[in-house]
Amino acid sequence: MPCEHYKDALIEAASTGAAPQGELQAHLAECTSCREAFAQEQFVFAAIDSGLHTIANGEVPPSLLPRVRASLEEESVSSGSWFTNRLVLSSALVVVLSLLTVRMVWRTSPGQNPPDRTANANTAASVLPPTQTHNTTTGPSKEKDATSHNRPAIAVNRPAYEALDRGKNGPEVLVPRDQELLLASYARQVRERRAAPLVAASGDATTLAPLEVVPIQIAQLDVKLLTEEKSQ
Amino acid sequence: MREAAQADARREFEERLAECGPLAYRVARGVLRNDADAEDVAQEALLRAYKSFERLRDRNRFRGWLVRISFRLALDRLRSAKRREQRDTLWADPAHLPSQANAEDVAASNQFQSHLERALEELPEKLRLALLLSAMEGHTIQEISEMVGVPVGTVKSRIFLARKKLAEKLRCHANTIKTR
Repeated sequence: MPCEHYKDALIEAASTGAAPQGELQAHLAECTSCREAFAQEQFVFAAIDSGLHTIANGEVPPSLLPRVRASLEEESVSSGSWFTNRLVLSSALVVVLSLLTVRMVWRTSPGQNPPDRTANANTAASVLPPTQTHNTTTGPSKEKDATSHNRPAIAVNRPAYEALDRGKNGPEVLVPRDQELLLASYARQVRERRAAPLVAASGDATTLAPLEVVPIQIAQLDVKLLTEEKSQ
Repeated sequence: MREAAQADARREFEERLAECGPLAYRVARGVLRNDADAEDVAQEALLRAYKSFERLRDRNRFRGWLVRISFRLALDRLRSAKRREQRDTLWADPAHLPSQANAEDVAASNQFQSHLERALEELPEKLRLALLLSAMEGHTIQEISEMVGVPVGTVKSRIFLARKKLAEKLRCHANTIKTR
């Protein structure tokens, strides 16, 4: 065991590797245990330094620099492609945004409003021109001949029916033959009420000509007396 | 314009790579005690340094900057490896763990080296980095102070303290070797 008084000085001298000076040197010359302790400390620090040198100066693997260069190459390629991708994406975004802007401006500008076809179509789709209805639902030509007395009125309304037929995308409504004209008249009134500004503004082919309503013709009843029936 | 600046930075970095690559590796190796891990960490550190190289105003500080990146990354990896090791130990079958008898067969010098590495690991980070850099060939105290960014006196005291702490831990092991 070293002398307690010289212990710290001894360790410090051993750690720096310098030769002991002055009082410590004189003490080491006299004290055997301190001399042994000092030699031991020198050995400990020499072993530590040697071990540290081995740890800190290990051989660098030859694959390190090629690996790093390869990863740098990859990095520069990926950053380049990232830049290109970003450029393409931003261009596409600009195009899409400008298209949307143009569309919005076109929609909101007065006088450029597209006609409200939906309301028109809904109303129109509820009534079909009698000719088409007959063609699709009832086929016999005899029946056509029998109802030929309704033709004039239908012929007058043909432009209206054609206009209505243009917007046909709803369900078909089948009505009795003698109520077609009444229903067409009703549909026109509804349409005029719903799209009054449109009709007034455009004045196109959808404007219906005044309806000529044919008076309902009721065949005369063939009245027979009860007595005559009994005799038969 | 930007591409030209990038090419210049790349060229300059390449020039420094041969000089500083081994430094990054050795710092990482000093912390991790494993060649493969140290190589991975050095590669990552160099890649990170490259990504930020253009932003580095004072290029003369590159070495210190790289050392700090490597050291930090190595510490991170060491911590995560320790966590993994702890987890694996908890779940491992005790029958598959190496026996103590095998450990006794290790040569005395190797034993001391492993004790030294363990003691080094237990040092505070600042002391450890200063000691590792001082042990690397060709680094003066002045260079270490520039790399770490602290005064020369601080570096000296850190190295002294680190060696003293190591000696306290390794004294008994060193004496064992000596008596053999």
